[in-house]
Amino acid sequence: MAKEETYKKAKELFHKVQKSIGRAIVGQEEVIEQMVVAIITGNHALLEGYPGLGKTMMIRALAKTLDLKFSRIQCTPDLMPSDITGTYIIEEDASGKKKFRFQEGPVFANVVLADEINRATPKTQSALLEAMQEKQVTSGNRTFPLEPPFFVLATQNPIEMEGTYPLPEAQLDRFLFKLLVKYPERGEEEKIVDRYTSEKVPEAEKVLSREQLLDLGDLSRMVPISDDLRERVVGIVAATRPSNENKIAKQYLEYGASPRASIGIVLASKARALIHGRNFVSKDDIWAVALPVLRHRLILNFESEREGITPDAVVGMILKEVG
Amino acid sequence: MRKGFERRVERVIREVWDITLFEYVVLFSVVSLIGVLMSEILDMPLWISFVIGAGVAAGAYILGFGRGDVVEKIERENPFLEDRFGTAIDNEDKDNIVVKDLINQVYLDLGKARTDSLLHMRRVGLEIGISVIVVFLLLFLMFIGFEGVDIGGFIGGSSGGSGGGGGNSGQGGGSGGGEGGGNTPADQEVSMGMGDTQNIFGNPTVAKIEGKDIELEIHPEYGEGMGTGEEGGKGPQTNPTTAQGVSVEAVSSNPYTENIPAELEELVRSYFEKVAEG
Repeated sequence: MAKEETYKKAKELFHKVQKSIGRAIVGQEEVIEQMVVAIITGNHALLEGYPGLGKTMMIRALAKTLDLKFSRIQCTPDLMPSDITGTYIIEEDASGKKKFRFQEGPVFANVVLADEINRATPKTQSALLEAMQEKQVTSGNRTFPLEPPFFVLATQNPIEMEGTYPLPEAQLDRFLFKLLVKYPERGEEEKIVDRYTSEKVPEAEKVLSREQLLDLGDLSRMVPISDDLRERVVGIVAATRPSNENKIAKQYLEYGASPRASIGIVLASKARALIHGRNFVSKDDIWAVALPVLRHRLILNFESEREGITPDAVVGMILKEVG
Repeated sequence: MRKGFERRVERVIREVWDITLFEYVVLFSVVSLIGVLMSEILDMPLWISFVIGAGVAAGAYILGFGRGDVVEKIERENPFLEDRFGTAIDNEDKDNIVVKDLINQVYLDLGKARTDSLLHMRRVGLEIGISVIVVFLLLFLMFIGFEGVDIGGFIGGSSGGSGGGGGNSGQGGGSGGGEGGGNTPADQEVSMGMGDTQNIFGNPTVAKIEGKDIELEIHPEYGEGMGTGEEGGKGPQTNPTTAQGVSVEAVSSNPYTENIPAELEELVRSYFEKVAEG
């Protein structure tokens, strides 16, 4: 019954979430929508943007709106895996007996912000990525499950890449979306300045419970998609592989997307349809999520990089051709 | 609700198929009618027109005219069903609150769905109009008793006249003067394309001399053995016979008729008698 109620109010709940986050963040509606879609599907997102665009604030506001436990990991080159997952510490109990106790790391939260993940060493990155994939942490001979929902938002700075450790393609594939946070419009920036220089800085407020969020996750998987659209999704992803003799892929790409991208597009489309109050997936849903799903899964060849072709441009060409 | 939904889906899809079938039947009919008209004019077998009609309709089907995904057609003609109709059909076996909600909504909306707009009224109207004109033309041809154009006559060419009886083989006395060069059956007629091909030299000319009809037939063999200064030798001997009631009137073309002036009849007669004696 509760699930049915949540289903009927899905669109209304999403508007409330948007409105709540909008109190703290000006603009960036598309990024907020895609973050909500990612969290509903139980997946993770990578945010890329210049410093000072409100990435951390956006994620913090999202966590508050969804009434989720939030933790932040500032990734640096000296960060150790145990700094993320946790470690055993020696503790003395009341009787003076010493024993090991597992001290949970910041990964034991619902929303984890991994700031500048490309600055952490590959070893540390893999510890976080393992938690993302398995939704559990293994330390010693014990396994600790992570409480659902578990959502990792990692950020990257597109400048100052010297001395960083870019995520390998196999690891990038674990993120459902790569979201680009852009500069605000002139009017939006004026509003930001006004808001954050006034006496009281507005904050987001809780509008959704954890149970409702989990219900939305279950409901999104129930949203049906037609056979034709599903085939189209598979066709789009297949067109990114040069081995499939697609002209665009052969010209611009070294490697294309895996079936994980096809799954991602369908799941994200279903979640988007649900929060827009629809009980079916439409072509617009596919088009809206295809770019953020595919852009980080394509590897450009040398000629494309030399010509300055971006993955977004290639995805756009493929969507135009196959769509 | 599921049963009702399935029934409505079947009804709508059947309507679309009926419309498509109707369009193909109209196409077959108009092409066949045109074929019937052509077969009347060109005197061809009637079954050819139906074969052509069936061929054109089949060709249109193979090339995909009027075909295409039925669900896509219905969604295109009823935009409020776009993406929903196909999704509901593809997922009707699933049992969850979202799919149920979708099927309920599509079931209600199918009641408003229109399929008549799928009929290509302009094209079908044009085809029916052409059919009416063709039927009128056919009735007109029947009324005037049009018997068709003989294409075979043009193709076969002129076949010449009827057989010249005994003279057909080239046998005949002298130059075929006097009594004629053989029997010409009374019932043989000369007509274009249907002529008697036995006598390739054409029908013998018949002259009326002293009230008698004389066939004048000269074959290439006549004059054999004749040289310069020589008299004509004996040529192949035949029994000259009198033409039996041969009509000198031309049927389709006028054979050459000798109208000898009365003052010259004696002269001509004596000449031919001498030739006959020779």
